[in-house]
Amino acid sequence: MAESEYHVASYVVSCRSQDGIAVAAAIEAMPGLEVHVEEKGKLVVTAEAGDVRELAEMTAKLETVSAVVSVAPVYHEFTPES
Amino acid sequence: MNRNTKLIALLLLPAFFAVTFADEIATMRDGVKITETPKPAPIPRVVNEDIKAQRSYPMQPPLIPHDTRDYELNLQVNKCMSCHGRRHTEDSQAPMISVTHYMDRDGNFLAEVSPRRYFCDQCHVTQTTTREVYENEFVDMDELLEERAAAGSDD
Amino acid sequence: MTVSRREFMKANAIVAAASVAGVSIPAEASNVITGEDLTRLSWNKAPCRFCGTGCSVNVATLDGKVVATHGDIQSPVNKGLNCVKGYFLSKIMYGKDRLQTPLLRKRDGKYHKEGDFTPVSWDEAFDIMAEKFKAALKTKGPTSVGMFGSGQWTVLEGYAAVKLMKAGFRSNNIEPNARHCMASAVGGFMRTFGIDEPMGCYDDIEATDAFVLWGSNMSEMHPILWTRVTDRRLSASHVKVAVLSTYRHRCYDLADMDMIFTPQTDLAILNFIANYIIKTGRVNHDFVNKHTNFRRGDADIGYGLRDEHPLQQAAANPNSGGSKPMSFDDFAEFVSDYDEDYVSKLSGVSVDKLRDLAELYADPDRKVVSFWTMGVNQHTRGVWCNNLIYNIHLLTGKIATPGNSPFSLTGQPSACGTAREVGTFSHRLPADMVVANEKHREIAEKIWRLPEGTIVGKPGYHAVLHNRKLKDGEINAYWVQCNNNMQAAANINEEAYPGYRNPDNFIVVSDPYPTVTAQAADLVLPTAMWVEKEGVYGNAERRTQSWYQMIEPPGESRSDVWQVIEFSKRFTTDEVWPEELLAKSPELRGKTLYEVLFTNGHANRFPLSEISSEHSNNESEYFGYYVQKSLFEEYAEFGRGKAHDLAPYDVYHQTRGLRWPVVDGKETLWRFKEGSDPYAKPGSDWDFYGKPDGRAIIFALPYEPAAESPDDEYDLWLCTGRVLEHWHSGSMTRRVPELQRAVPNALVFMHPDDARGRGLRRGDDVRIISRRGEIRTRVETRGRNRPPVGLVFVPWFDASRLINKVTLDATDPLSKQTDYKKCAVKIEKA
Repeated sequence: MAESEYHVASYVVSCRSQDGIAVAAAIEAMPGLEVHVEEKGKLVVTAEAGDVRELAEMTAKLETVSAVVSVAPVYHEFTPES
Repeated sequence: MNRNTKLIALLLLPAFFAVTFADEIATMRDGVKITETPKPAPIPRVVNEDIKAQRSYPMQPPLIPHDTRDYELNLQVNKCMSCHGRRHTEDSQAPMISVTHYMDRDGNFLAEVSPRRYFCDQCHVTQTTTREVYENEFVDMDELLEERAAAGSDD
Repeated sequence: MTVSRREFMKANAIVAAASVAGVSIPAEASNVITGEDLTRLSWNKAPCRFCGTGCSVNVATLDGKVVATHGDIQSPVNKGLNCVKGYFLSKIMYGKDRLQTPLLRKRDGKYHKEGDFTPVSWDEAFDIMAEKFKAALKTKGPTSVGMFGSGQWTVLEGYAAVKLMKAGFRSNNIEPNARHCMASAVGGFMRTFGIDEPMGCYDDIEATDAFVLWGSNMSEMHPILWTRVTDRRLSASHVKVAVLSTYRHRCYDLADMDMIFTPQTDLAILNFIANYIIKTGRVNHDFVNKHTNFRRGDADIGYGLRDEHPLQQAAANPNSGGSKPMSFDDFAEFVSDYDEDYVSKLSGVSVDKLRDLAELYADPDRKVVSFWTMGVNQHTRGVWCNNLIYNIHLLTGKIATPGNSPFSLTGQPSACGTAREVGTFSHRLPADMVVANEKHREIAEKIWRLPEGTIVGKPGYHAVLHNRKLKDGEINAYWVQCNNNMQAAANINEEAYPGYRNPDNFIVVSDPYPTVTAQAADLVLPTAMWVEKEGVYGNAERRTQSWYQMIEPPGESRSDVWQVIEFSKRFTTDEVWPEELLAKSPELRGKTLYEVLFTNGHANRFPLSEISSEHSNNESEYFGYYVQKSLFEEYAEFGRGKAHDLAPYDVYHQTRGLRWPVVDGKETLWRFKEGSDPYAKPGSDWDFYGKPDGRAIIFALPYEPAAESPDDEYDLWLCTGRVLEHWHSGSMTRRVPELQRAVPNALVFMHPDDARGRGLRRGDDVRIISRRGEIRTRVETRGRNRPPVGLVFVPWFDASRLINKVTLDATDPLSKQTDYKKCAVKIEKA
């Protein structure tokens, strides 16, 4: 029986300067992902999920966004409360 | 503090500063002189309760709450992954390794655990039941925040 | 306003990533936390406090406390990873027994050698210190004072101490604990190349085809470098990992070739490989002819013991580092004695394994990285061993190019940056210069604005000699900073302890915590740690890194550099310099050492206005100038233009460090190689410019046995070392509950057969006894280390199990570095 959890992770996503806005828009459209900063091809992105498998899938999807050069995870925390 | 109490406190001050620490200050020798040989505590057992300990701060690698004796971790076998790998967690109900473990050195997301994370025991350690523990006054950031919130609500 | 836990977690996530990305923190994150500046987590970079790998971490502070750390993603060294110790950096400053006031032994209100520790003010502490140092200087002169510092000192701390000792007190008795860890490596570099520190860098790991670990346990001692080795090995199937040691440890879990050799026979194995390369016709003659010379080194050089010791009396060429030129053919003949049968028998390694190992070096199409640390350095023939490893890389030309790298790993976080580069040794000055060289002394005196003749040409006492001279009453005023030498030095019972407790001696110890060394002292000074002060470290790959002060040190504790500079105010030149010297610079008469060494207009030329506006800087605010930058820029004058170039100080705060020589803003990855090293002359291809003729030296050096081997009574080899979870003497890591609970005590790792043969079982209370002393501990027969029959291993992190009571203070006679890996013991049930 799985307990409900809250997972949040943050990433530094890199792309070319000129693609920044398009990449941000693409990520914002994806459920659970939020863009907080977009500056010269560097984006600060958070992902929120109910369990780590969901989080892993969201992370994988991030990589596939067109024009993304790299995705570096920075932070991951979760709490068992719902 | 009323005036009388303050006066008494002042008189007591010099007495406080005359306090000495005796000779044997090395905490970790527990008062035994350097020239003597202390009796060694027995080897404590490894904690094996499978109860997740609270992390001191979010990015701390979780401690291993179970014994890992005879768990092989080498070129041929990674015993840890047999329960904690993504494919096995449904059966094992062990916590899955963090998503951060799937990135390579250059930040590319991999389908499998990154080889740089292969030797789990470089970051994750078991605990023993030893009683020789030294007090540490590290403050959890949540506690600091609660203090702040409590202070704020007094206004 | 309350903050939900989720909102707080999310805000932390945003702040952490923004900090790593180097972009400004978005308003929503700060608003979520409450909008007040003070409540935001503040993130700053710093190098890790622990090993020579030199990982970078991001440190989070909140309300004046460190609350978290994170592996720095931007650092090329570790790219976001730490080892378990690094992950607990946020706790190392918070042990409850942190020293907060100076403590002086007193009886009846006055200093007494046998008195009880009593809190005193800094003023009173410096009063008694000055009195004792002045008395020693007056009665016996500069050779009667000494200082024992550290490869964990910041660059600024080491530099200030060198000035105070060598220029102020005119004593060369300053040594770092790095004498115990890297002296043989330095000796090896100077002998083979004429200049210190590795020619390669960590980038070699991702470029190579083979790793050979010579007595180095990287998995536990350089864990992040091991993750890079693991990454390379598991990502490229042709890569081979060969591990050699005297006992089986965690690195063997990744080994394709595993070898256990009899202690000391690494010398023979290395000569065998040279022999194999020559006999199978794989010498790179083009390289050897253009870039090397051959020399036969003096042999039978003793063991660094006291002169009366029979081993020293028996040595033909005690302490000799001399050598004579020889031809390639002579060299080939020399190593031909080391054939596979002889070496296999001597070392216990099979002929097949020896050949496979040699083939890794001989194969011209396979790049090789050799790694080594204490197995090779803490060795009575450590310098020779370093030379022999360079031999096989030079014979094949596998050096100073990506992936071809004899890489001497450094143990401490700044043994390179501070001890070696600043020269905090009894015989050295900054930038590889030596006190014995008149021209070098002139350069130092010029930079330091001192009269000619201030610096003494005769080298002082080295580390092991410090303890012997303390015991003999020849050093009488002694200052220990940033190390735990009572626990770390070999032969505690016979030398170290009697030395410190000799009633003629006054011992001062600066430390954050009450260690065993503090207990043996007369005056203890509370010291600031790590991010409680601004500092600079230099790691194993020549990467200099800096950090800002992030929090206040507790109570009255102050940094080592503050202590040294403040102490210098207590002395005037009239009190410590002879008349001949004062007559040369009469304007310096009557001036304090503080004025002469630290505020002479040059040493303090960067003003307070230049310190960071966002960070405290206690030392600078106290002394009224930018202490760290001023010291650094003066120190950098020694090396710039001399192949030790450092970048301008401010640059280090902006980068994740730079590898020197830094010329025109560009760091150097591979030294001695044309195209990569700006100092390599055009057209040279390889230029070993440390030597006048640009050629490295291949040395003929033999196998010679250890100082003390097992015999009928003391029938086991004792090897000592560390474990992953604890740094050095455990004064920091054992105060972190998670690390202490992981590995609480030092056990004796032994083979089950050895235990059984002595009527012992796992967990038994035993005595480990040598000719010098004993300790009691418990037997471990199924731990992470699996020694062969005949050898036991005991780590030295445990203050309650002082294994250095048992060890022998034999050293490499050339490097003066103690051999901690070999002596003879017996084990009995307690």
